[in-house]
Amino acid sequence: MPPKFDPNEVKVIYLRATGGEVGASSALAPKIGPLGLSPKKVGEDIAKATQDWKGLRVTCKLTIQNRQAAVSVVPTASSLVIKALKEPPRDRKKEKNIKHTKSIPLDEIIEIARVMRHKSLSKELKGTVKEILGTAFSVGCKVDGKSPKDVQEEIDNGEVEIPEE
Amino acid sequence: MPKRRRPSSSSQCQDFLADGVPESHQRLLEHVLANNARLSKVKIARLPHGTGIVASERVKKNEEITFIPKSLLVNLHDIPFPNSSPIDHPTKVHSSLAAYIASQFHKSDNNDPFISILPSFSSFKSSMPLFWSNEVLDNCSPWVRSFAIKQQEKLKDDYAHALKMHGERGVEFSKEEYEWAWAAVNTRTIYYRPKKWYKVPAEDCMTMCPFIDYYNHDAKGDESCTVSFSIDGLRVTTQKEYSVGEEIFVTYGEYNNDHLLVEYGFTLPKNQADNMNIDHWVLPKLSSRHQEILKEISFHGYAFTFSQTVMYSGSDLMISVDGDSEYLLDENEVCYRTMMALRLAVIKESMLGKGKRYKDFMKLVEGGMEEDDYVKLYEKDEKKVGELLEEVLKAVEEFGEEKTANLRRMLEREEFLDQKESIKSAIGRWRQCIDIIAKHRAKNN
Repeated sequence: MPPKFDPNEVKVIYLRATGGEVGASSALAPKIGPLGLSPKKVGEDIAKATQDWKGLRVTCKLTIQNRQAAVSVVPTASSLVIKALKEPPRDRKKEKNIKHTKSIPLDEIIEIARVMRHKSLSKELKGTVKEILGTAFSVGCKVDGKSPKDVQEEIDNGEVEIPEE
Repeated sequence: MPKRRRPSSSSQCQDFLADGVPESHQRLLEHVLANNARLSKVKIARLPHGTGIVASERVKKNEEITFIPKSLLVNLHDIPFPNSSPIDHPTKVHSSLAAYIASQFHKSDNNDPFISILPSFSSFKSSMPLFWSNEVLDNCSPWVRSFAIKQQEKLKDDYAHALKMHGERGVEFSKEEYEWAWAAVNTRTIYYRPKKWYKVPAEDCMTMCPFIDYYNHDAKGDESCTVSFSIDGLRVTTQKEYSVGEEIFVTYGEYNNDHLLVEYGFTLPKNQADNMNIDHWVLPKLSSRHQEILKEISFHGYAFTFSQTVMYSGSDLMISVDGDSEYLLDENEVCYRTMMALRLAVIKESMLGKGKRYKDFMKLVEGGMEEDDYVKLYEKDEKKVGELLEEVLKAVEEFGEEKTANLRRMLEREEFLDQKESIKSAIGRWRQCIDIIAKHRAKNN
């Protein structure tokens, strides 16, 4: 244990939460209770840190050191795509099985691809854009009014140009 | 240490030295600067609490103030390991580094600038609990005592290891020199794991680093400088602005004062990450059945077990020294683990495993029930939990006062004259602990 600044001292926990809401502690309690943190307090911290993502499911990263949890939001493709849809926030309890049918401009997809670039294994930005389009398809939305699959084909055929970076 | 160049000029060193700093530090500076280290706007100064680094000019945020190239670092690459399989001779880097430094020190003609600035053995002896006498340790908090004993064991193992591995090959050092070097390694190494070292186990990723070890510790993680490593060396970058003459801190990690005392031999007067371990007083409140249940749900401070052949004096039980399996108390609150343990403790033993209250407790553990609802539902129990906690705190306080009185008496006795410093710091730590309890009470009542 002697080395100073030992990063192994820090524990990192990832979990999915709904932005801006104090969720049920069922996900939190078994994970962080044994570390000596109060699930209630951490739940409130998560709600505070995810204000920008109201009503969306996001992945949160908890960095725990000495019983202090720092919360940050990890951008994921699906939450970025749904955020780009700019849907009005809705009550998850009342409306179930939400369908995302709106359309996103391709420029925004490229913007999302740039954010997600570091996670992607693709060599070029083009590949990452196609990955994001795949996520858009699974979310169920459209891109420039077309099905994301069609856009992927257009990129492959060279009909749509994607910038290098 | 190895790979050095002769110092070129001594004039530029003056920029990085404040007045009144001993000459040995100047030699180190010459050595460091001659080997392509980059220092900017900092100087070594003598401060009330020891040697440290202060800003010599205004320093901005996100400025790189120190860079030490890898050629100056002393780590496992500098130790000549014998050519044998790692299974027969596991590479214990801590042990081997200490052996290496001790042997350098042993050579009488040695005048290595880096070794000459290391603290003397007597200063380690008075500051680090592992060198304190049993009488003093018996009067420290159980956690400090357990941890110090664990370190003594480790030192013993490491010495045996070093003798076996390096002693045979003509590397010479005495036991005292080894103990001194071991303490130096323990207090001064820095975590270093560049990408190339991906195969090296984490506990061996340590390096000694001249100059960066001048930086003192502060607990404020978001304000003190960050130390980052890469394949070419170590860097210190600021995270806030400094005015001229202000001391620059780094953070060793957010440790409480007990940990700092045992590992590094000092405590911070104002440590915002300070807390104290209360296992020793919480555990007696729990029957073995209670403890079993807590273990199952991983809310139990695992008792630390030592090798069985060794007997330890003192009646107190050995307690956990693992970072995350403890019951902790700080100024503001007791940790959630403690609360849960006490909540279980107020349930009668005969009611464990059945009954609505026990089931609701388990629901709370698993997150099926919110804490607020539980508190509301069992208001009476929560009151009892509060009383139990107060009992625990009182016990800690009494224990602390008693030990402090013992230590004070020792101060007056002649046979402890040479241990004055260590007794004083043990008393100082008890005062801090009792202060934590007082502050906790004031905030929660």
